Amino acid sequence: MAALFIQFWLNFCQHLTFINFTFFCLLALTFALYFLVPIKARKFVLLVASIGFYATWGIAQFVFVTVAAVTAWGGALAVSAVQTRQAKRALLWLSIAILIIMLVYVKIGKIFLDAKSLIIPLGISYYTFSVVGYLADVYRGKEKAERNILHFLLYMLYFPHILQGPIPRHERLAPQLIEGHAFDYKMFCFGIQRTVWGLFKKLVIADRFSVITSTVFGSDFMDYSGQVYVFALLCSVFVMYCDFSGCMDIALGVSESFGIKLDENFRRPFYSRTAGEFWRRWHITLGTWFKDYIFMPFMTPAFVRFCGKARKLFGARVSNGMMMVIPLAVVWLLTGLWHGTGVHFIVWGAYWWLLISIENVFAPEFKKLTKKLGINSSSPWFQRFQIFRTIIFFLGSQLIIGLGDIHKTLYVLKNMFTKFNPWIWFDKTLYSLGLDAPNLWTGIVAILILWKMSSLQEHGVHIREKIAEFPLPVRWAVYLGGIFSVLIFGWYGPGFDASNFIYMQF
Amino acid sequence: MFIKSLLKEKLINNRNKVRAFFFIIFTSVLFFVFQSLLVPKWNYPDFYDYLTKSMSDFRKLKKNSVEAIFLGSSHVGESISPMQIYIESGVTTYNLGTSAQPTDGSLFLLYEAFKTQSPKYVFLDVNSFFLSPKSGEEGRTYLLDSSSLSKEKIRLAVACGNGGGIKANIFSNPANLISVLFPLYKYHVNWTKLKKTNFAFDISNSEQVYSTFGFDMYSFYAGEPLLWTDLNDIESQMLAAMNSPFFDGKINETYVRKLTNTDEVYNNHITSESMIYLKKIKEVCDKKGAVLVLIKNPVVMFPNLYRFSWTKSKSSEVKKIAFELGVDFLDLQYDYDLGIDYKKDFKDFGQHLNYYGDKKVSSFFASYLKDRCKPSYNQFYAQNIEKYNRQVSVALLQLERDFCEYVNLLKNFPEDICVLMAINDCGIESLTEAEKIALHTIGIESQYFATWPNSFIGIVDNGIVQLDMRSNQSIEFSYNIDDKKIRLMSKGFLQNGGQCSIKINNEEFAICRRGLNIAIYDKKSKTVIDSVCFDFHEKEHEAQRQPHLTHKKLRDYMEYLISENMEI
Repeated sequence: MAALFIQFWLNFCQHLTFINFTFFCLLALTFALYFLVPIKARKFVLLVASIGFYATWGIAQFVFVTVAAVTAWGGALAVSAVQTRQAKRALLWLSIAILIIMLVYVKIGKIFLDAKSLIIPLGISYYTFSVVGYLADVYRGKEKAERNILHFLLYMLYFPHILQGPIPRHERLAPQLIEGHAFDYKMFCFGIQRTVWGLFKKLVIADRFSVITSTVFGSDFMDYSGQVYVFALLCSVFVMYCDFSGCMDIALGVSESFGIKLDENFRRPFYSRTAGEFWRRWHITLGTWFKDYIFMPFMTPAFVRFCGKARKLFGARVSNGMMMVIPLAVVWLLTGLWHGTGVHFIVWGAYWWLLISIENVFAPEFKKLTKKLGINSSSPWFQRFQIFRTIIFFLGSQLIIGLGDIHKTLYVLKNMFTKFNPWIWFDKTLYSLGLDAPNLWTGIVAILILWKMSSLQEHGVHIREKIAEFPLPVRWAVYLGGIFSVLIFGWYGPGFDASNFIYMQF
Repeated sequence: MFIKSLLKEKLINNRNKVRAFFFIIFTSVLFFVFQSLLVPKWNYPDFYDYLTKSMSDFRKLKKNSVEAIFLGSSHVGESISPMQIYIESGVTTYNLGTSAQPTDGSLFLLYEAFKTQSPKYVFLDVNSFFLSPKSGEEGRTYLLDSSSLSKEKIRLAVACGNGGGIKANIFSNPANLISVLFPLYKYHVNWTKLKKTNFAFDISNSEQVYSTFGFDMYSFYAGEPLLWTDLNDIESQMLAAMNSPFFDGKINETYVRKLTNTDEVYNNHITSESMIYLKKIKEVCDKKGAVLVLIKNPVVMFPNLYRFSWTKSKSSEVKKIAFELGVDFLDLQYDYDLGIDYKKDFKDFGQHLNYYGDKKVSSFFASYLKDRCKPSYNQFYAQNIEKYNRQVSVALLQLERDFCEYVNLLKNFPEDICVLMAINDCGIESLTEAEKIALHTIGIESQYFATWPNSFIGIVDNGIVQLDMRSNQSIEFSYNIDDKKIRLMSKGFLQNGGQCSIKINNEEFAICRRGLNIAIYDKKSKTVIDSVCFDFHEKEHEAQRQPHLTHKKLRDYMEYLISENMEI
C-alpha cells in the first residue's frame, strides 16, 4: 500500500502547478475535504494540501522552505520577546540575513552551480519577501508574532500564492487562513469563474503566442529580421501579461472559492498613462512591498538631512528630486536583482528607474510643454496617446528582459530599425512562425475578448456581478463558453509543451 | 456526503442545488458532444488514423463471421490481404496487424477479437518476441488510439510507458490514462481540421463503407527512387545477409537510410516478457477453441540495419518455443518458397512487402486455410470485392515499371482517366519501336519524337487525344476537366535548361525529372492516381516515382472508395 502511494505520488503528482490535470483533481478533493470538516479544522486541510503541493517539487525543497519558515517564525517570536531596541534590531537583522542568504544562495547558485545539485525551492523570492515584511512589521510593533508554527507554515506555504505570488501580508492573510470559512455559494462560483478566466489567459493566449516568441527569439533568432521581430515582441507582451496575470487569476480564484481573499496583483496595467502608474498596476504586491519596506525606510532622518543640505546648495527642486530618485534607484536595482542576476536584469531595472525618474522630476516641464502646444491633457485622445506611450515603454522593457541576453537585445533592436520588410504582415509570413492561420486568428480573437473585458472593468463594470444578473440561459452560455474555449482552444495535452508560468523562475 | 454537509450548513439552498446539478449535467453532456465531434471518425483512412479504421471495421463485422485473424506488426498488417484470401479461398479472415505491435498488444487485440468473433485460427507474427518490451511503446500508443474504451484498453494504457506493464498499475502513467478516459485531452486540437464527416452521426455502422479488412496496401518498390542497377549491386549482399545471423555489415552504405546498430539487433533470445504474453495468448486460444499458429512473413534486410530483420538463429529459436508450446510455426522466409523477388516484391529495402509480395503471401494463406476451413459466402466481404479490385488496379498501375506494359494498363484501365504528359529535358530520341507502337496505340504520333531535343505536351482524355503538341520552343497549354484547371508546360533540352510541369489547380503533379513525365487523373475520384517519369535517355528506360507521394495517391484513392456512395 505504501509502495503504491509512493508510486502514485512520484508519477501522478510531480511538480504540480495550476495547469496540471492532477492539480485540479487534488483541488476538487481539497474543496470537498475543506467544506466537509468542522470549521475549526479547515485550516489543517489547507495546511496538508499546501504541504502536499509543495512536496511535489521535492522533499529537499520542502526541508529548505521549512528551515526558512522556522527561521522567520522563531525570529519574529524572539524579536517580540526581547525588550531592548538594540536586541530587537540585532535579532531582526539576523533573521533577515539568514533568509536573504538562502535567497542569494539560490540566485547566485543558478549561475555557478550545476542545476541538478542545486536546491531551488518553489516561490523562494515570494515567500522570502513576504516573511521579511512580516519580521519588519513585528519589529515595528505593527503586528504580533505568530506563536503557532503550523499557522505560520500555512501562511507561508498556502498553495494558491506559493507558485508566483501575490506576495501576501501576514496581517491580512493569516487571520483568514486560520479562522476557516463556511461554504459561500456565490464566492465559490465566482472563484471558479475567475479560475477559468485565468486558464483562458494562460492556455489560450499566453502559451499559444509563446510558440511565436520562442520560434523568433530562440536559438535561430538570426533567421528572422525587421518586422518579424516587432511582431514577436508584440506577442511577447501578451505572453508575459497573460501568463502572469492568468496565474494570478487562478490563484485568487482558487483562494476565493475557499472564501479567502488574496491581494490583487494586477489592475489592467495597459491602461496606465505613466510608467509610475504602470508599476502601481502591474505586480502590485511587489511594488507595495518595495514601497513599504525599502522606499519608505530609506527616508531616515539622516537621508532627509542630507537632502536638506542639498536644498541649500542647489535649491528645492534638486533636493526634492534627490529625495525621490535616490531611494528609487535602490528600489529598482533590487527589483532587477529580484528578477534575476544577469546584467540585463540590472539594465532593465535602470531602464524603469530612468523612465519613472524623468516622469517625476520633469513633470513641471512636461506640463508646460503640453500647455504650450495647446494640448488638453484631459482629452481622451491625449490619454490614449499616454497609454500608447506606456505600452511602448513596456515593449522596450520586454526587449531588454524578454530575450535573456543583452547582446541579443542589441542585435534585435538594431535589426528592427535597419531591415525594412513590412510585407511580412500581409504575405503569410506570420503563419510560418509556429502558429498556423486558424491558431493565430484564434489567439487574436482571444486577445480581443481580453481587451473588451479589461475595458469594461476599467470603466467600473464588475464583470462577474454583471454576468450574474443575466438571464440563466445567457449566463450559462457565457460560463460554458469560457470552459469549453479553454478545453478546445487551450494549448495543452500530448504533443504540446504547455510551458510553466514565467514568473515561477523568479 | 459533501453535498449533505453543505445542506446541513444551509449555505446552499435548494434552488442553487438544482441549478448546480443541472449545470454539471449540461457541462458533461456538452463535453461528450465536443469529444465525439473532435475525436477522429475512424472511417477515413488518414495516414495516422488508418489503424483505428481497421479496428472500427472489425467491430462492424457480423458476430462470429471470421474464420481466422492475423495479429502482429506491420509485417503482417502490410503483407496479408484478407480480401485476396477471400477471393481465392472463400474463407473470411481479418488482419489485426498494426505498426510495431508488441506481444502484449497482440494479447489485447486477441481479447478484443474474441468479444465479437470466434476465429478458428489465430496467426501470430513472431516479430516482437525478440524485442525488449520497451521497444513496443509506439505500437501500444497506436493501439490505444484505435480502440474503444474497455477493461483491456485501460490495462494497455497502464502498461504503456512502462515497458510492457507486467508490473504496471493505474498510477504508472497518468497521461496515457487521461487520454484514454478523456480523448478530448488529446484530440481537442482537431478543431482546425473539422470536416463534414465529424458532424455525422455513427457513420461507422454503414455497411456501404469500403474495407480492406485491416490490410494496408503499399504500391511502390524497394529502393525507389534508386535505379534498377543500384538494386542489382546490393541484392547479392542482401541475400547473403539473410543466411548469416551475424553478417559483418560490409555493405554499401550509400543506399542505407538508417543504421540501428544496437545489441538488440543481434539478440536471438525471446524475451521473458514476450514469453509470458505468448503463453497467455496460447491459453486464451485454447480456452476459446482456436488454433494458434506462429508466422513469419519474408523480411530481407541486414540485421545490423533493421531491428526487425529475420535471421536463421531467430527462426530456430522460435521453432524450439513452438515445439514446447505445441503450436505450428510457418516461417515463410526460410521454410517455404513463395517465389519472392527481392527487387520487385518489397517496398522499402526488404523490410516490408509491396502489393506484388502481399499477393504471394496472401495466396499462401488462402491455400493454407482452404484446406482447413469451410469456405462460405459472406455478403460484407463479397460486396467489397469490386472496390478492392479497383484499388488493386491503381496499385498495379503505380507498380508498373515497363513503359509498354504501363501503356497497356492505361488502355485497359477500368475507370475514366485523363493521361497528362510533358517532356522534361530530353530522352525521347531513344524510344524503342515497341514503345513507339505503344504510344501510338493511345493516339500519340510517336514517330516525330526522333527529333531531339524538342518539347512535348499531350493529353489523352478518356481514350481521346485532346492534345499532341510538340515544338523546338517552350510550349504551354491549359485544359479544363470539370472544375479542375490543368496547365501543362514543356521545355526541351536547351530550352531554358529543360523543364516541365503538370499542374492541376496550381498543384504540381509532374515528377519533373528527365524524360516523359506522366500524371494520371482519375475523373471519378477527382484525384491523381499516379505520377511517373520514364527516362528514355537511360538504356533500361527507367520508370521513376516518389514513393511516399505514390502511397499518398493510393490512400487518397482509397479514401474516395470509402466515401463513394456513402450518405453522410
